[in-house]
Amino acid sequence: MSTAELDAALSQAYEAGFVTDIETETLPPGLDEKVIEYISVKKNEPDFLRQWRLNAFHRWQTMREPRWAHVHYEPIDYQGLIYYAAPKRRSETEIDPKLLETYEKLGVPVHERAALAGVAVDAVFDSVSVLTTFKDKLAEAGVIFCPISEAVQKYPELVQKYLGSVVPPGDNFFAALNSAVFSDGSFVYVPKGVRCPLELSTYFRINTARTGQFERTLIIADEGSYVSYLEGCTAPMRDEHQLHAAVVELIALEGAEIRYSTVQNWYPGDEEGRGGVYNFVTKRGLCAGRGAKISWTQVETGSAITWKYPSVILKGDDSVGEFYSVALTRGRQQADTGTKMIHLGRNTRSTIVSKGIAAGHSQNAYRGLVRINPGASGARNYTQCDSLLIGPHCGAHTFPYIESRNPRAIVEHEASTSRVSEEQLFYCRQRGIDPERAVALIVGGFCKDVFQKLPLEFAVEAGKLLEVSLEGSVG
Amino acid sequence: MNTALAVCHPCGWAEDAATRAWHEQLAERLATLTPPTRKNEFWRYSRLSACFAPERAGRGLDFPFPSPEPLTGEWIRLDQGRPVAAHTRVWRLRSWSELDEATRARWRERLEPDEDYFAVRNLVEADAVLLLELEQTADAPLQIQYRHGAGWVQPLLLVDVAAGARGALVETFASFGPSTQNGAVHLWLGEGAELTHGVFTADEEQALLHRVRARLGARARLDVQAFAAARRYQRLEWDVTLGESATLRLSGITQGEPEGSADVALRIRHAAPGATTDVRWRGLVPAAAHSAVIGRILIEPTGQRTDAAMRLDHLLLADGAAADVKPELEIYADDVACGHGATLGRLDDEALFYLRSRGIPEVEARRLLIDAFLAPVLQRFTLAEVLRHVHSRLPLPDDAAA
Repeated sequence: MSTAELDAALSQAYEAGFVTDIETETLPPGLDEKVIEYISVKKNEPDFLRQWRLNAFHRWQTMREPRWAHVHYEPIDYQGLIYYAAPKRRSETEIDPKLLETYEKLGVPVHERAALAGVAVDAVFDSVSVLTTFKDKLAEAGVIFCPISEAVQKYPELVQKYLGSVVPPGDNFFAALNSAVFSDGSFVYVPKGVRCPLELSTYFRINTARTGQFERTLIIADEGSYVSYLEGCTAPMRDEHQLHAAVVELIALEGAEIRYSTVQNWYPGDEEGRGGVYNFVTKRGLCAGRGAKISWTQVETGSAITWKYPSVILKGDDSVGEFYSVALTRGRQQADTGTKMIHLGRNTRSTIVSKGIAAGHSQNAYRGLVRINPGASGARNYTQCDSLLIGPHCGAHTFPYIESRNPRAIVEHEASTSRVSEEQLFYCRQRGIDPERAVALIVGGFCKDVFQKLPLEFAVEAGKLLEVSLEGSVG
Repeated sequence: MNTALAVCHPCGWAEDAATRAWHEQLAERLATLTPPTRKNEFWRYSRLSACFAPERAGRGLDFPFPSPEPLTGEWIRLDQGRPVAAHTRVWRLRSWSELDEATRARWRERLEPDEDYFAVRNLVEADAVLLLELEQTADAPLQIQYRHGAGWVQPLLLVDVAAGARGALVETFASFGPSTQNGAVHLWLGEGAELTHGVFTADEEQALLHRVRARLGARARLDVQAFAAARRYQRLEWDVTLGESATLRLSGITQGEPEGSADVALRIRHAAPGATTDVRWRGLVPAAAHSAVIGRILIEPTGQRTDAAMRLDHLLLADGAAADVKPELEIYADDVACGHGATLGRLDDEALFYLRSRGIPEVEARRLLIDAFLAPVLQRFTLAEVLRHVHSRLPLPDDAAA
């Protein structure tokens, strides 16, 4: 492959990099109590939430940014960021057609006619949720699916009960920042015994320059219920870095099941590491009741830096936690991602399957904790984390933490790192498959275990995304 | 040669100007360092407080050591960190004072420490500095016996195995009173050299930090056979850098003791192509004991064609047992085959049932299964001196196996 072809392939790689020219209402850069008060007033929040935000802000001011991850970046100027940006609405009900166009272009089904997709969508644009589809149909089943700002108005008791119950405001630096300034996100409540009739989905888009996105997602699955939730994200190509510091909290009560799938495709920056999103996210689920199940599936191909550890606290006896992940880095991307499985209840089980692929000059690290507490008799964990290296300039790392305090628990961990096998490549090429396609095929096979866990629509998207991301990595 | 060494200066650092200046710099560096905390990833699971317990602060020894076990073959005995008797023939033993300037300069360069508090402290406060050189093949292992009884004890051993030479080294530790040993062994293996290194620790009262820093030349081979039983706090560290096509085989067993905490920290660096690492460590953890193994294999961009495997397994034998494992891979080269595996668990109920159904009493059945668990490591122990000690500890007594 010639250099020109390679360049062309790479410049095509990020298809979601366009900017939507839309009138927005933004706060000037900077963060202080006034900004928090402004967001709170803007959203007409009750007093408890305003106070909660301020407390989080005060905690944040005393905290230090974590630096233990295997990533390197220049210090972030938190006072140089915009903490609130929202597209201007023409009226209460009408949505700017440019916004709808944006989502159409991104392939997000924001029209209800797209029912064939079988997905209800909450579309978040910069700091606000711009529309949510199929609310009525979901309401028939008793499922609440709305922006969290709406939930605060309509279901304050639910929000007050569960917000911060899994990720407390002082949990970590970025969670504290999010708790102080979160502007929107999705809220889901599935009542007792209800199997949610549609897949729920949120699509996050950062559009405005120098904006941080701080969404907050809260999903509560009441006893015996089931919900599958999908999350996608993109951002325009810009030369400066953008911050995305989200918090996701999942609560599964007795016998409930939550499946949370993410295809993360934030702008990764250019080949030289200019621009790209800093994706510093705290995601955690609580299996609160007996037999609850939380399953995280993630395909991470975007972001300049990913710092993300979707975790499960297995509190209820017999509860189950799962984590399936594919993380692909190329160019100058850096990823430090993995999971935490905290076993508290008896006979709790967790499975971790992580596939890391590093190409170009990127650094890809898996970091995972499995902790068996003294009460977790009969607990079991199985972890498999494999890494694949494409090219001599990248790095693949594995940092597992395995801690057991109970002799009746069993923990098994396996990890391997290798490059794309010459034999497999040779086999493909012998059959007339070009090297790039052959690598995509081999990588697809490497990730198969994870893709099988994704809902169908996402599995197709993830496969394509991987193929596009690998373009130009070989040759 | 039978030598009773008397060392006038604690270690001999002060005897020439260049060493004195080097030592002063180290002392300045030590003044800026503090003992590691759990925020340091390599000390994350350490229960260090035992080292700094007040009864370990004094340096005086106010009782005589018991008569030593007679040793055969080549051996050195160090009491309170200083050599008191030795018998060497093929190995050449010299103290720092006896070295010429060129050798001193070479070792000053080799001893360049990292930022680790204990490593620097060992260099600054070394009780004695001994250089052991091997230039041919030694048939029998050199035995090094450490005996301690009070205060902080900090022996420092420099070992130079010349190109093509082959030998074995066995270190054993005994303590007779509350003490902290912060010891270090620096191994330098020339091209094609081979060393089998046995470490056996089954201390009574001692808090032990023992650090082995090894540099393996091209095609050199280091075979470590270690057994660690900790009644208080114990930390064994290996920091190994492999040259081209060098081989490291590291096999170890931790036998936990109630109220004891045993740490193992491994830092293995592949900086040249074609090297091989094979680590296998197994731990037995009874009630109220703690065992931790932190292992990092680092493959530099120059470490192509590396083959590295690390296997860390623990058996938790009773309630209150705790084990922490952190097997890491940090890889910057693509033509590698690296893997690690770790398990934490209990004795297999089905296997236990199988044995019991054949009339084997429970304690005996458990002991059999424990032996089977340790067998893959024990099979790699070839040093008779280590095996003799290990067999004095295994099989486990009834109360530990039950």
